[in-house]
Amino acid sequence: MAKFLLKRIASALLVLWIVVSLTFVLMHSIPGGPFSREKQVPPAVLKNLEERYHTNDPLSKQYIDYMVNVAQLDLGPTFRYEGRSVNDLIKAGLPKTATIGFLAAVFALGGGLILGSIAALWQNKTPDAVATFVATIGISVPSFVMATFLQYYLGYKLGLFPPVGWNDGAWRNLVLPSLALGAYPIAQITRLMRASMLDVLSQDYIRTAKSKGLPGYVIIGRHAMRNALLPVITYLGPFFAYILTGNFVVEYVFGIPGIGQFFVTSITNRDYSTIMGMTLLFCSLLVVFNLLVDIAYTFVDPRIKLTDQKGA
Amino acid sequence: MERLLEVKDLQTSFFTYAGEVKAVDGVSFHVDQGEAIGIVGESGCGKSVTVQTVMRLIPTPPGKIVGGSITFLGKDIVNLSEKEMQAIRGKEMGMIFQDPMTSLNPVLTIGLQLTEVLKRHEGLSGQAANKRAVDLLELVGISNPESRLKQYPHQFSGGMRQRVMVAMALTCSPKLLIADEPTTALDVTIQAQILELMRDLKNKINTSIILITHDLGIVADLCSRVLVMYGGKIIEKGSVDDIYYNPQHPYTWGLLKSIPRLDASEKGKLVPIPGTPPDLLNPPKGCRFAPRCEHCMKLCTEQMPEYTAINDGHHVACWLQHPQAPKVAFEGRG
Amino acid sequence: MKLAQDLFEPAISQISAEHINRPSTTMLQDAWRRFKLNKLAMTGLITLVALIIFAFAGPAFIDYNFKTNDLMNTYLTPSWIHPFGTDALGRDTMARIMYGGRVSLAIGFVSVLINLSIGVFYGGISGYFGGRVDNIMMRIVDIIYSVPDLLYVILLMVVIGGKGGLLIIMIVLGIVNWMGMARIVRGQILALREQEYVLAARTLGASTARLMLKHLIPNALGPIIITAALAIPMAIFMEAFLSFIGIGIQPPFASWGSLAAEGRLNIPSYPYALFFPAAAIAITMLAFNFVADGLRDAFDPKMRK
Repeated sequence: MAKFLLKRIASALLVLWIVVSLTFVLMHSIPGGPFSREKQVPPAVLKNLEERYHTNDPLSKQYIDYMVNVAQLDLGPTFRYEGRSVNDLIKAGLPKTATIGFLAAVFALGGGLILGSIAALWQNKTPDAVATFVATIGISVPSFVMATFLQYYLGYKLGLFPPVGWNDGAWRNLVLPSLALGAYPIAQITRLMRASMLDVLSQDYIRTAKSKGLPGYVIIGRHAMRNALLPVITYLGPFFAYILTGNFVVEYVFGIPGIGQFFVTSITNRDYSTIMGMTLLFCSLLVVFNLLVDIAYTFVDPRIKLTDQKGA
Repeated sequence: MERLLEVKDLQTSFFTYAGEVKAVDGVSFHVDQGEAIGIVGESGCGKSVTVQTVMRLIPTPPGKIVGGSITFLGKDIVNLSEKEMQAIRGKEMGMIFQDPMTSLNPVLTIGLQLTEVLKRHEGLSGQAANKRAVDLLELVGISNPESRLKQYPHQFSGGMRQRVMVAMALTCSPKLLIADEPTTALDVTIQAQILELMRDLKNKINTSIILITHDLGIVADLCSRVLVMYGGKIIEKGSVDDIYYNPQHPYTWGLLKSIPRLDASEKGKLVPIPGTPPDLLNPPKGCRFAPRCEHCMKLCTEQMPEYTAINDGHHVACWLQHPQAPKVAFEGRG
Repeated sequence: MKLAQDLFEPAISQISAEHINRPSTTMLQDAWRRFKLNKLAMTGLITLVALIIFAFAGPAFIDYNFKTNDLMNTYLTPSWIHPFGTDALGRDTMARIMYGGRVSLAIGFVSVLINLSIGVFYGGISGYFGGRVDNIMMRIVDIIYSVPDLLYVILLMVVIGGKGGLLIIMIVLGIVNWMGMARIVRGQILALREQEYVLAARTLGASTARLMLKHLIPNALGPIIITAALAIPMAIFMEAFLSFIGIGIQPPFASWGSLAAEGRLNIPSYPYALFFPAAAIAITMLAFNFVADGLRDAFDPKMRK
């Protein structure tokens, strides 16, 4: 187990390093520096700025400096917001993003598991049709369409929830963004759970359980559930990645000042350091989460032992 | 003495989008207390569906019992509610399935899969249940039963898994044990062990057994009577001696001829039965075996043969039994 | 019971011993047959065809093009003259949706074509050779895969994108998405090459290329087609997303995503500019999903009834 963990952490660090380096190279190959978007900056000021941000140092030096800083968890200053560092931005934005992400995740997982199970148990009857229909809509409608749609109808037109703003995390402001973010994953999980449950229910061991005279709820709850959950757990990795990237658009549309929004703005502003810092953050979060998912998987399925074998 | 199980003219069909598949089309037999019978036939002849119908395990769409009756311990099985059936399954009737790897739940411990039956039917739990589970494992010949309880199916070998299945089915000492091809997926040596196990248990607990197989070779060891099925119908039934020493149906002859024999000459070939099983969606008009029978007569393709009694207990459904039919002898065995 | 004696004459077997119940069909024909039976899938397919015709042939039938400004007639509600209304600069929205459709659909198909080629090639080689080659190749894929593709796309567009040309977007999307396809193809090839008919072909002296082209890839076609069918709406979505946040297609060119972005600016007062492109995207993705589901069912041997 320890050996496995070490291996995984090592390869995770490798990935992160590659990502950061790549991002670095990409950022610095854009013609026009970070200040080319500003209004005409007087040359003297420009020179000062460049010195301050070391943008005139040879690339290799900039690279090493950056790497050293990153190792100390210092992501550097932003180019856009005077006096604020990337770390500051993250500190400000992450809690908000995390709240919405968490709510969306709970909604998607809980709702998806329930809907999917219902659909499988009443296969081809009305509950199945309804659940499948809802799921198909959720999968097909892109997140930004869903977000703007919810914003328009539930926000502007019907006035049920505030259409924009964070409002210090007032619960009413959390509803629309979480729904918009969770729409796609809940659909995905519903479909996954339904297919998985149907597959499990057709297995021989369910027939054995029935032949032992066990009642329906025991068969579903004890024998079927755990097996049906396995594919859903495998999905959790991409699920998390989606929540992360989906946040960009949701925060953008609903005006939530989370790290997603900062990232999007930093792109339009060509704010190198923020872009790199955020990218690094996202990838780290992903890597950690994937590792946790793998570990969780072994608790649910006793056939899996933690080795460094990747499944074919 | 009342019969343990009486099946009369059972008909089970599956209603698929292509039509009605008559998997079991008029099957009648009985099982007495303490006796073992065998049901023999090829894949698709309806033997599994028959016994699964007896336990009401057929999924009810698309399956359905369209006719006939099943009486077990005096109760009308066909019309029992699901709840009442659940009280019988696992307690009065037990079943062993063909593939022990897929028939055991891979994410639950063996112990749990055993004790849940005890909990359900006898109200045992905790220590008492575990003790009984250990006893059961010992009974079926598994060593170190206490530590085995906490293990998972994938940690057992094929033969041991099947033993566990036997233990699971016998947990509450049921009156009837149905074994659906219990040895087909196992090595020959393990086969012998499992059969011996079943014979011992039958003697110890006096449970009746229905053994399903496509292999006539293993039936003689354990069973006293044999039913031969083909195309959803029983085409011959009788005692083991009747079937082995005085078989009357050409299909039974085919089955007997295709068993490899230790005393056969080395140059002899194995004789398969040519052709494929009938399409139960559109079964042929007359005898189901007619297309593959080398003694087929015009009558056979037009009318379903009636049952003829050779002696008390030995019945055949074949037109060759008709007084007007040519006499055909079986040249297979002595 | 006495019966006519001639009934006891031997009968010639009416059914030949090796009677096969169904005529054989190729896998593709079989799959197409099953696909046709699936009403939802066919609806999806028809919708897609209709959309393609709308986008590519539509402009020939209407008077407006996507560029003409008419500042006197901005933000009109839908009417017979302008079935979808007009936008901020008085351009006819329907025309813009048609042109936008061309862009979005083209990007979807072409980028998947690119992604298909790279993916099948890479996955095929990896799966076929197995062993160390496979290990290394898959490791690389795993590492690249660790980063969400949206991130890559965004970064690449920031760097290379510049003006957001059509070709660039197609290439970027194609380059970023090939890994999923490669994995699937590799998995298939890995499984298939252990099959006996491959061994048989090998013993008959088939070369690697022949094996790949004639045996392995055709049998892997099912999952390949399904993955491609799912990749197209993914690509359309990504392009829409990019345009939505401003790094995709720039005006005056339109794609559904950029139209949605423009439309968004005025939601409370004029929702139509957002509604039509958003609906177009949603309908397209819905249709593709039905088609992909239908394909999945059609190719799944377990569904054989």
